[in-house]
Amino acid sequence: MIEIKNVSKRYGQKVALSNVDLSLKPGKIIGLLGPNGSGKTTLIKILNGLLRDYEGEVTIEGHPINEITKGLVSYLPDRNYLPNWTNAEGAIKIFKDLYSDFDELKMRSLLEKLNLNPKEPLKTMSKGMKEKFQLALVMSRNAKIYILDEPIGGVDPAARELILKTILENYAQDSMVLISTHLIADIEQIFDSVIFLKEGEVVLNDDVDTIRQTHGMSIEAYFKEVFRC
Amino acid sequence: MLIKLIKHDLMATYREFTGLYIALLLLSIIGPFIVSTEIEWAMFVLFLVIFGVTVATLVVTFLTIIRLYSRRLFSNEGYLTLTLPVKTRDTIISKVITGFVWSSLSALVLIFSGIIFVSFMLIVPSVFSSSFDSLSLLFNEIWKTNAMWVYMQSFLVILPSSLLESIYSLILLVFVITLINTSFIKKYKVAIGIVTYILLSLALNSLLGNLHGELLVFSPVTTLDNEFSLELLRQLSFTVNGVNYAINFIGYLLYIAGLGYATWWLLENKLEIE
Repeated sequence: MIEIKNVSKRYGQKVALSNVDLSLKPGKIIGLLGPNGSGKTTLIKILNGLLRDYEGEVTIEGHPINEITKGLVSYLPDRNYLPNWTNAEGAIKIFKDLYSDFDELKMRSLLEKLNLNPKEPLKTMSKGMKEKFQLALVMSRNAKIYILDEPIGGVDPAARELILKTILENYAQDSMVLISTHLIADIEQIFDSVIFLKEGEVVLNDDVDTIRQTHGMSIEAYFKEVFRC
Repeated sequence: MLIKLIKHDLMATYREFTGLYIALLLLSIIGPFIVSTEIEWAMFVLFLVIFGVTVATLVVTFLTIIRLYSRRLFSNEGYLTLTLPVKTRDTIISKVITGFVWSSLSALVLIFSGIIFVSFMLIVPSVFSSSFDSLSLLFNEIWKTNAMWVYMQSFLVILPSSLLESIYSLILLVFVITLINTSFIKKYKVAIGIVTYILLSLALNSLLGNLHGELLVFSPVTTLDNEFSLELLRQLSFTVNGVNYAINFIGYLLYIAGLGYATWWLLENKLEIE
């Protein structure tokens, strides 16, 4: 589904990605893990067409990154990307208008579950509420690929569970979910496989069960071992 | 999809203008009545307010267009705009059309308000006291000459070229703002953007300016040294220099195509959103 061949990216002298080769298949929840500056967000930006100047080849379902692949991917960035001038209802209209796979009924039900008021202006929402609202929008698309960049980064532990539940209940079984995070302990139970990125290189790409069996420890414990300073 | 993009761009920006447009139109209607009172301080305040609202309209139009091209494309909102399943070409066109709509509408509202103001002041002289009678008479005399009609015709003749020039200015702005958000520019983005816009604008305008002369030639030639004469105004006419007009028109078309392609290429190959 996603093919990444020999992808490298530099910011001046700094190497963000170095010869990354990945082949990601559907039907899985994949954790993209690594410390700050390891290249997670760079890779995600490339997949979403926000970074165009890189070496190598990236395709999604055989297409180079373009408007077709953008239609296949439902992307949650690590920031508030909704305009502040509207309310939740307005943002829903934007998604309904611009994404043909947006399921409004699913969105309405998620708003209720997440206890969000559709009339509330986005600028008065707290950071946590905005994150939940954006996640609801993104998960309300019937996309083939969900790319979630730090989906639980800015919310309290109670809300994290709700967010994970929302992700698990709202992705189609034949789709792929790629989640970038550094809060591994909170989220590792939902991963089918993980990718470890270290200084722009893939140092591990394996199923979580294999990792747990081989190394006899949790993903978080193994992550700490790999990335020990 | 292009229509939807334009719709959302207009919806994102219309709030900036509605108050100012309403204020301008109200002032153009109320203003003449305040002038008719001949209370000096009231007239002073009125003209101050009119000046303020006019300047505010121009500034808001400019800043809104800049924000439309920068914030909605390359800041946090860009994470939505640039990941929509739309062609890069449509994204660029929607931004240019939205900017064009607002700059044209602001110009129209300013012109229309001015016309309403002058109409109330002069065409309905009964509203006003005798001190405006001489001005009203003069305006009526000028109105009777050929001049207003000639100027209106020349305005219509020059309009297509002016509209193209306006589109070219907008697409140049999109190009420069896109350029500073690519991997070519790492630091001092705003400063580089301003300098690049000024330099490119000067270079392209002088290049086109040197390729052709006057588009319209008025006759009889009036200069500031000539005494004002209704007779001169009655004889006023103009001719269009077809060759100069064609060069100007094609020149702007080429600029628009070139800058549009360059912007598309940058977005497709060099985009580096922060």
